[in-house]
Amino acid sequence: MAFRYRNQYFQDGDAVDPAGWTKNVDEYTQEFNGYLDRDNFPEKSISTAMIVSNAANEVYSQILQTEANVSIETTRWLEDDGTTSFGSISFIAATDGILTAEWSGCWRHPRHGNWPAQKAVSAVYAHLLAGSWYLSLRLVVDGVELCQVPKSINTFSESAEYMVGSIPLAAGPHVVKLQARAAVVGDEGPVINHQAMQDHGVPKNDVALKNRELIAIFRKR
Amino acid sequence: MARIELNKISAGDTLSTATSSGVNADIDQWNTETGSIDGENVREEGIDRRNLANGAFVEPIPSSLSGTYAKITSTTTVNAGNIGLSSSSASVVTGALIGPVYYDPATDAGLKINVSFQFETPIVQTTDSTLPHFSAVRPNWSVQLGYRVGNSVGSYGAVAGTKRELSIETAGCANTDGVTMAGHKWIDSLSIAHMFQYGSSGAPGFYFQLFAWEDGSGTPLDFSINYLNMFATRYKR
Repeated sequence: MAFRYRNQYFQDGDAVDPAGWTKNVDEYTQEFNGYLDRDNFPEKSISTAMIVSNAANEVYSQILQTEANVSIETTRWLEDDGTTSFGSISFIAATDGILTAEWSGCWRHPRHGNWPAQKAVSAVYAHLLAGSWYLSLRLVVDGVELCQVPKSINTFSESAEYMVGSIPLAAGPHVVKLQARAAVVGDEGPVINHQAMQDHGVPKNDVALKNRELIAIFRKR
Repeated sequence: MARIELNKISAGDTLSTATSSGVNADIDQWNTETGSIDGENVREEGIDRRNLANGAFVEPIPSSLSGTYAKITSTTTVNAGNIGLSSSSASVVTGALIGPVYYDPATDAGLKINVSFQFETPIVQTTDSTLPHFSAVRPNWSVQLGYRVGNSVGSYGAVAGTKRELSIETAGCANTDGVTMAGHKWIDSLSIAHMFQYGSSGAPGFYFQLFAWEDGSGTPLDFSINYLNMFATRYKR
């Protein structure tokens, strides 16, 4: 609106044509009725209270304190399945922007010390002691991996992880998910036959996710 | 939306000064409507950063970082047993405190707290000589964020979802040959990210404190924290 010009110029003695008068007035009336812009407002004049909620930032958080079991009986990535909540956030982006997702939480792995003593002579058991229990966590946005933190967990029975990633997103519906998988990995890859382990007296020690939080911050264009 | 609807003038009309339909009515509209301009008067994407006040969307960086930022660069020992989160106990991690941090759920999108640090456990060793060498001590360290409104002395509330538990699995021992094996010492890092939720603005400001303690059975084992960085980010609108 800063540069709107009179269309009609009147001079002393003119017989004013109403159409010309109206045209001039309409110039700024139309601008006022929905077309004001940056040139009409002083520098730094718009404060937080004047801005509609979620104009620039949409913030989502999901805190979960119920344990989620990460079974070692499968090598596929586990996620929310209607029964177990690993963590997910869905939102609809009105514009394109940048999403930053953060996850932090801790996990528990049953102590190996509960195993029977005879495992000391078991080949499987010796193999397990070699540091072959793994836990992997990753964040996935619309099916695309954002970040991943694989970890060997033999030495610990409880510990914590953190990961963060950012990705540009188009307008539309989006979902951020935590996915997890645990495995016992041998020289030939993941050990799937857990019955063989249990035949050696090794219990099926799944990993459990404990206190955890998924955060999604969508910063709009 | 403040909207101006002018009285149209046609050729041959008598120019009226009536407050209901004449020139004065048009002037009255301008005088009235300009006081109630809102977002609908503004062209879509018509505002740019130049028009925005400092801190309109994100809290500006203060002249002093002391309120929203904490840093530890020397080892802080946590020597507590079974005490949990308590403002008057030894579980307070000295120096890991930020505040006042302001947040108003009525206007803000969120307040995020981040803390990251290194921790170090003592050597964990067992006298169990049978394989495998599981820790007989089984220490279990916990860390958690606490918060309170205002800086007056008082108890901290636990920040839900921020408790992190750490426990070591295996340990060194004296083996059957009488040769003492080295114990396990755990040096690692830990990060917590939390989006703070609170029902009111907490006008005096919020304070966040990191707590750490050992709550395993038996003799508590000290552990230490170093290289800590803790900060708050306030997202508005």
